[in-house]
Amino acid sequence: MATVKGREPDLGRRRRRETEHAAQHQMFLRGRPYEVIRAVRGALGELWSDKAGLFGVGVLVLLVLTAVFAPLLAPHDPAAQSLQNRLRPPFWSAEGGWDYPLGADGLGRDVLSRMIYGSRVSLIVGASVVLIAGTFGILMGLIAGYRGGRTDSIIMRVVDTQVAFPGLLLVLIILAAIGPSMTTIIVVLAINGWMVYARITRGVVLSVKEMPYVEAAEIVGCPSRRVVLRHILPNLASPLLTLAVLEFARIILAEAALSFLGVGIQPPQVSWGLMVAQGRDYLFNGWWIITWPGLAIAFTVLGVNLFASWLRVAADPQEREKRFARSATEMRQGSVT
Amino acid sequence: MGRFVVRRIAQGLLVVIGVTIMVFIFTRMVGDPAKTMLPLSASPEERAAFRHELGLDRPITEQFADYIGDLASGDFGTSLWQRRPAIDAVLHALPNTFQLVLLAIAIAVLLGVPLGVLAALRPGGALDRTAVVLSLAGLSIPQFWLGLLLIIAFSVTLNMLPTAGMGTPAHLVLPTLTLAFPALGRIAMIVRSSMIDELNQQYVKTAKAKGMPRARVVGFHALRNASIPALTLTGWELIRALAGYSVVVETVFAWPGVGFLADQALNNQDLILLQAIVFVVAVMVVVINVVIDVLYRAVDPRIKLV
Repeated sequence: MATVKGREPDLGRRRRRETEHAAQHQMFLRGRPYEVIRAVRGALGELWSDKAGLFGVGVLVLLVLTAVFAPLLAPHDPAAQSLQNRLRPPFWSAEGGWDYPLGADGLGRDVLSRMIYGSRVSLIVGASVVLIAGTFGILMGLIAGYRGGRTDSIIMRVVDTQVAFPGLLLVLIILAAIGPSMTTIIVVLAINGWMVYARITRGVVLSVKEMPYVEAAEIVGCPSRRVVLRHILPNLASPLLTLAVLEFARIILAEAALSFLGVGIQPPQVSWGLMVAQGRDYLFNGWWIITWPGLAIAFTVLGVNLFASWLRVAADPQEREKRFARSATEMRQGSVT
Repeated sequence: MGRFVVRRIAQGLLVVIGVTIMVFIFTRMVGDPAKTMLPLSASPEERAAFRHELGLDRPITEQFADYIGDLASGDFGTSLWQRRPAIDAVLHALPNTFQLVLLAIAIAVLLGVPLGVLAALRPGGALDRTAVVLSLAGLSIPQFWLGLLLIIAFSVTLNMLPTAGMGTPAHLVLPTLTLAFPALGRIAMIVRSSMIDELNQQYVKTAKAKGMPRARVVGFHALRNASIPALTLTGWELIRALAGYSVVVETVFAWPGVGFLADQALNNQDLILLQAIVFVVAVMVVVINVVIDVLYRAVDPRIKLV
């Protein structure tokens, strides 16, 4: 049936009682270390119960480990060519073998080793862009929201103008003009992506600015820098964290597309998108060359997205409370029926 | 209404100007066209001649004034690679892109909306799970890879459809599907969540209580209100398909539209052609934005146009 919420009129009070009850239970040990341990244990427990989120974290951990230990994990040099192993199929087919587990590409390079090294590019580009665009965007959003007036309208005009023209085209022409390299990709994608952070930051700042505790801080004479950083910024942690993770996934896709089009990572460097581009000439006799790196992109992006949707709930106290109450009511209803 | 449209067009003009300025800054001030557009073997004299020809040796302010003046009078320069006015090449390719993008978005809407509605009627049911999986797949699978996989499956292995180019309706199938896939998932998800919200509203209960047929309650009353976020998203998808995804999809299938043209201009280092493409697409984006804002009003009279 289509009824989803609001079955009983006094559910709100009961939920509140149950959450308070649960909160009291957890309060037997006080002190910083216990709080940290409890928080970590709580997060891990929640993660365990959310299998999609667990998968996301698993993918992320795997990505980081692969990128860090690439030289130890890769069976071959990612650039080493070998003519007699050209277009060698994966291990399960008759001509394949365990020395080239996922096959070799058109130049006889090991696909698995190239994928392992390719993870580095995705991670570095994704993390740097999120860091640069995030820092700049948050700063702009804080300034716009807190100062208001003229500053606000100028910054938001710039944001609106840039948001109104999305997509790769602008990025393409900039990369064509400057010339592609890892640094330029990072810079250009950061220029193309700071606006979302600014928008969200500004929104939260505007809604928090009028709160009594911010006014109180201003009245007792806090310098505005302290008000912004100590009293306003913490409210942003949850939405911004989720946004940053989602943006990370988007950047990985964007880097792959740019490298595929030839304006991203340049050979001899390796990137998943570039691998797919190089495999395009072998669609008829080497399906594995494009299949594996594509799968790597898809699973990484999927994992990061699932992690983000878990994080959205886990990092937001209000969402957590809602979810706890929901599971409590479900449990009770389950025991009654 | 009239004033609103004028105002929106003025705002859109700002977007076009912003894009133009950005293109100018990056192509002329940060990058060096004489370096990017000429082959590596060009001699210093040839480079100097090239600079002079394009007016790159003059002060940057003068260049900017000229640049804006040329754009305003519709002169986008001559494409060095195609040896004809850049704008002609773009306008020649534009209808092909429209054909592809409009068809893809139409498919995404025609499949995505019913899927979202059915998913909302039974949250947690089989169709709901299909919708969620589809949208997650659309979110994660890179389009260029999906296109290549479809080519391997339907062209190489099954030998059913052409790999690239245009001409017959069969040529349209794979590019349209590739372009429609991510949009379909997103549209289904947004219809689903707003339908769930609407179905819990009082007016739905009232309509049911007075004995209105279920199909009419869902399909007319609830869907109409739920279609506003879907409309926003559809416009956004249209814009993104036009200004981004089409480049990738058209390149994969060698579909002779603006995106493929951009890819080729890129390979031939033809900045002038790229500039013209970005400008034309920016104008398209602005037009779509205005049309969508006007459509809102038609769907929901509560929305005030200011």
